[in-house]
Amino acid sequence: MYEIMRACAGLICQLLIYFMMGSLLLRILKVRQENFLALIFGFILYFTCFEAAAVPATLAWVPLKVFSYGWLAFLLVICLLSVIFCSKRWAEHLKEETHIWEEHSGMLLLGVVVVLVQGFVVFFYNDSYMDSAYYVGVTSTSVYTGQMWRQNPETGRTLTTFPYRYVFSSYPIHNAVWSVLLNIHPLIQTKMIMSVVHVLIQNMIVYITGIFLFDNDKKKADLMVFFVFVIQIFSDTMYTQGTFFFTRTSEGKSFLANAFVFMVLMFCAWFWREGRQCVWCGMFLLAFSSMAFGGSAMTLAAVMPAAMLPVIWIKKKYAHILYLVVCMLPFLLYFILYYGGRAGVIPLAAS
Amino acid sequence: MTGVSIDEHGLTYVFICLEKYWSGCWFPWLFLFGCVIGRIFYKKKTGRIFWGYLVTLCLTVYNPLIVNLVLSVLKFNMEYYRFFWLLPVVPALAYYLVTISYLPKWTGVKVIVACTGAVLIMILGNPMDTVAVDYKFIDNPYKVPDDLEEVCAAIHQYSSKENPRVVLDLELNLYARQYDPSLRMVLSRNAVLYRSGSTSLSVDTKSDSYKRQKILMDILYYHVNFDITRFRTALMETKTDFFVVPIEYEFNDFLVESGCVECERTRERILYHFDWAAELKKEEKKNEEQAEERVVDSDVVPMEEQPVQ
Repeated sequence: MYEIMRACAGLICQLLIYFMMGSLLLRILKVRQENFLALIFGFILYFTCFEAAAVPATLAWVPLKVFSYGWLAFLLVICLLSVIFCSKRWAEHLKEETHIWEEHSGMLLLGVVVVLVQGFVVFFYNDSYMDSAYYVGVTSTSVYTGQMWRQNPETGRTLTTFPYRYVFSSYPIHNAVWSVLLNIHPLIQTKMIMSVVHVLIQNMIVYITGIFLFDNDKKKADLMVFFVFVIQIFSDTMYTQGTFFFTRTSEGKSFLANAFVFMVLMFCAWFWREGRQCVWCGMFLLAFSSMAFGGSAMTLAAVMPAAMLPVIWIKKKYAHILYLVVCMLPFLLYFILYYGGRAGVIPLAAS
Repeated sequence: MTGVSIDEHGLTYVFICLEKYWSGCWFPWLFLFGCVIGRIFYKKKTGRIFWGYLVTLCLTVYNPLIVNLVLSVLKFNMEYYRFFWLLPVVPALAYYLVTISYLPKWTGVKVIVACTGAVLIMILGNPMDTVAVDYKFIDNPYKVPDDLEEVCAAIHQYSSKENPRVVLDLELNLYARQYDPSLRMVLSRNAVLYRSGSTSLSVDTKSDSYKRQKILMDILYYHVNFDITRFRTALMETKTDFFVVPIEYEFNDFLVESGCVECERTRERILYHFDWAAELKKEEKKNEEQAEERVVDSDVVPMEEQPVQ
């Protein structure tokens, strides 16, 4: 029971951290404070920083506990900065949020119920897909041995080299770090907390996308959240996004198939509507952070130009092609690391 | 994608993959219809974004020529389905449904149109059985079978080793190290999946390691090839400390005869201990004795071979 309470505290804690990091970033980018947008930006900024820190630490054999407490110290500094620089904005924003019912009316209830239902479904769903043996195995084994990714998660044998296919994606290590910090079982962090985080982030993305697509009509955005839920749950094959969203919650791929693909659309709709440069900052963070969730992130290298080039063309903002190229650099980096590791050019000794 | 090969299907590969991805679901057609209608009648609407997506993706990652070329070089045939995630079928359909729902002026009609849209989705889609129909509710917060907790507790109770080597049944094998990473698994995931008939994995079936694992799997999973000597040798060579069999399997006599000791019964399984170190010593001693006997035997020259003096 205490473990579940710690897990709930951990969930709130992680969401607060995303919010604080996002608020700080939105302030730097001079974007109006929006709670959901701050959470989304915070989420991708968080995983960008984590990926940039965790992959080198893994390859350098840094012990998990040392890394976890170092990461905690970094988060505390960021949160402190956020409180110092953003608390005034939060207070102002809170005062503005007095017309929620007028803007949403009954659709607010529909949106809340839909998110609660999804949260319930993933929280209590018995995720037993065989790939979790590897991904969750990495987290459990890292917590047990206190080393990051240096044992085969399926057998427990010490690895001679890190697996180049997986080691550049730090999502399992992220779960291991939080398991250490909260002193909870890795299965709870992976299959319960993160699945709920995914539901919340995904629905926020859909909602914000609706806001951009429907010219700030919040009722329509709420209805869009409902329809996305219905379509996802009625698109069952072993490959679809909905299947990953509801039944393969423990895998990073689930985030890539849903939150990240939807996020590209969100940034695209934002760019269509306002044509702001801060969209590119979000796009860059999206590309970088997606690497943390698995090699399938490389598919985003195809969807980003597919989403943005037509809009750039229609809006005749050709100079933005350069930004798009910059946003593709994380994919190039991953490509080099992956094939460098595969060819043995990048040293991946694990013992 | 499983069962679809680019060598076999050539330029039709993308279409076959698309068909398999949606598996009879109408959503991609509705998406296409929405894109075309939006392109023709609502030229200034935001929905043009989806048209842009469609055209660009069709020219690139869904272009049969490019796909054939790239897949033949980079070899990610099994993962190609992930490119279908990129087509914004789900958000676009939701966008179209919301737009249609808000076309009428009266709220009551709007509600009726939205409900009709939702029902249409339910009729034209495939319901997710494991969620919407036969929901798989968890047994405990760890999302593992209750039996696994009991089995792991029993193993640690009976074993003084920090990392006992275990063979679990097919179901528990998947969860064991997620729940208790102190266990060392004798059977590798690939070997288990390959033996169960998976064609998407490559395993070196001629290696000693796989042969040993196969002997164990044949007996414990598939109940074939019961041979005590081979079973004991495999247990000793793989240094198996514990293994689990479902309670309904009735080959207790065979296991006891093989030198295994029953140590715990859970609701659904029986846990056996095999002291491979002691058994190995016994075996070595037996071999030494047999060798000595052979030496003694060879010293006694048969009568007919004795030299004639």
